[in-house]
Amino acid sequence: MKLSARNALKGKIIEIVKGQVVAKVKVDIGGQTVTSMISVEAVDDLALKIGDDVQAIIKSSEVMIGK
Amino acid sequence: MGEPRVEAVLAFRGGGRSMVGHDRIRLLEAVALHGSITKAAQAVGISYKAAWDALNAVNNLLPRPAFSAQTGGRHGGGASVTPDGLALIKAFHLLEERLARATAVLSAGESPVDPHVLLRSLGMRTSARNAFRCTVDAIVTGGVNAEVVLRLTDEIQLAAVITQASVRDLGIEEGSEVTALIKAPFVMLATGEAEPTVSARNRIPGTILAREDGPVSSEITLDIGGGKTLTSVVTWDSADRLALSAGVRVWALFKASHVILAVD
Repeated sequence: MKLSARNALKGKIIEIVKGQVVAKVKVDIGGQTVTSMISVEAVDDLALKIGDDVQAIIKSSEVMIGK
Repeated sequence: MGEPRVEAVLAFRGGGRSMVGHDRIRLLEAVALHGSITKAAQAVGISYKAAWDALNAVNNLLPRPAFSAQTGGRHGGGASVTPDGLALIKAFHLLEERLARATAVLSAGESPVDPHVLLRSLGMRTSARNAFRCTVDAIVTGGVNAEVVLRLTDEIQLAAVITQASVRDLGIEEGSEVTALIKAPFVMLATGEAEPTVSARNRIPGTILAREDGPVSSEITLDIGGGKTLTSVVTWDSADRLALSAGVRVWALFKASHVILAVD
């Protein structure tokens, strides 16, 4: 699979909190944490669990910049 | 003889009383402009009596008056339009404009006219490039959010995550007809035969119909089957890296939380 998203940050899952519809997944990217909100179904589909090697994929048009 | 033209005529009516249409709205506008019934009557070319009667008919339409005549009696003093009256004028013009848009579709002589297209021209138009008419297949309720599963075509289902409050406010239930809106930049593209293993709930296979390049971005239009197309905007670098061009098979990926739902 080749993806159009410009940002694919490699990391490890350090936390998963499941709600009824949406889940919070925290990914450690070299000491910094990226938090992702994805559906519970996606967590189950991908069988995500703590310690998994994953990529945090962020489309460049979705990245805000603060200074 | 001019072109045959279809025109719609708008009128408000309350409690079965006489109708408030274009002429009376124009009179009300003249009152707002001139601050006097006498001058307003002159401006629209009717008698003072006719204007007075017409304005009272407008007042009868609304729960609160649309205009008020200042002391000085029937023939003297000024008159002004109330905030309710101004709102009435604005609403009338908005509806008139929408109606004109809908009738323009009929006038265009395209046949057959799709009643949905006609109705859509009455409603709000949005900048979102992707607008799909769908039927609600299922709703999964959570605490704050709800997942709405939509039927787009026989082959394609869409998932939308919206708040529970929105589901309630919009009256969305199984079987409801909704419009799913997805901004083109929310749509990622992936190449490769296998379905991408990403968390994005919407993974739709398609074939590229067109690619249009700007200096930074590329707009990619996909045929996703069932007569539907989906538009994505990605960076030009990505479009090149993935060698996106007409005929290439790709996967369109977008998060369920990026799907906006609208109802008529």
